Amino acid sequence: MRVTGVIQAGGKSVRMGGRPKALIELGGRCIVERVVAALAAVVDDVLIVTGTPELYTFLGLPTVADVYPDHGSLGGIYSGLKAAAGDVAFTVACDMPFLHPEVVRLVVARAGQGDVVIPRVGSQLETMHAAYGKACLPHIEERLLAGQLRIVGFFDRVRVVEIPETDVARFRDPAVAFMNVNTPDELERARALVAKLR
Amino acid sequence: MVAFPTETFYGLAAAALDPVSVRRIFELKGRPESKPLLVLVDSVAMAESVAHVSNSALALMARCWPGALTLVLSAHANVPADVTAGTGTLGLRVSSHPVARGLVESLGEPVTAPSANPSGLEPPTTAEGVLAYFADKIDLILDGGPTAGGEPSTVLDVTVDPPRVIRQGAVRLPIAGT
Repeated sequence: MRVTGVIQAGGKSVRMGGRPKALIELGGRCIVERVVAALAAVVDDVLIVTGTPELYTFLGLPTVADVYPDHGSLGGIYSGLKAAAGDVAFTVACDMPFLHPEVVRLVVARAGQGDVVIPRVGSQLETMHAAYGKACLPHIEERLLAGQLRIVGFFDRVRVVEIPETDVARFRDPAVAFMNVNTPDELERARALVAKLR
Repeated sequence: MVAFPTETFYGLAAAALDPVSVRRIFELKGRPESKPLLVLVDSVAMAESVAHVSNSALALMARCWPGALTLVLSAHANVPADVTAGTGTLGLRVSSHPVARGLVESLGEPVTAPSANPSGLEPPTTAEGVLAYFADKIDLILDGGPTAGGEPSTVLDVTVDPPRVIRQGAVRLPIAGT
């Protein structure tokens, strides 16, 4: 089973004052490079979904634009999955500085066991750290066309396999592994954490 | 000293950061010591623990790992001189073979992966083939059944700009878009 890593970089970084958060430096690398580094050895190839490909040319990775612009994260998941060379798109956000390759592998290793393979932390499904199979495409598209953008909205139509929090915690505190940097406060927290984690 | 299957041939595993283990590889293979050893890692983070990973190298890892692309990188000082063969570089890749990868993961550090044959002879694709070469000279063979054989990994030196192909192998270069 071929798995494409898809990095969602379509957001507008509004809460960071418009500064592309993926490009903020943290521990010697910008955040999106840290994302690439966590995925690189686990997935078969990597692509980036973005409306601003010029920001990411330095990564040397293929980029695709949104098929349905302004359709939120669900639109991004759809676009990455549609463009993926693999049967499955392991999808993450570009602003998750503490992804752990072994946590990525937990999900990727089970890709194919369900149409969606996704970690659960408490009541929360980690939709931006999940593997989506091509079988999800028609169901997502139907929702997008209906303007229903809640990511989990199509989950009742497909086979969903959940990864328990305890499995994730073997490698990294889930609150850290799935953390994203949306605000200056979160960035400060990330800077404090980066020294402790390698 | 352990022989193990990779996606192409059986390889010889030794802890790459342990000079004594690495020396045994050379003794076993009768390998000329002017060539750096190829080393397996399980992640970019592990690669960064032994070598400098540039952005262009990171992009190639994202496109081709796990798989048969060995990247020659500048080694950190913790890498034994026998691994770098005095070149200051080493070749790294992530294997797509579950046994090879599992071995690196279990050890938690980089593992050498030269093919399990005396220098100049054919690399083996079965555990029996390894035994025929090194019957009582290795500690263990992880028998993963026959391997696919075919071409060895492509070796690309990314310490120079533009990168230089050292061995054209299973991954075809140039890679589209790079």
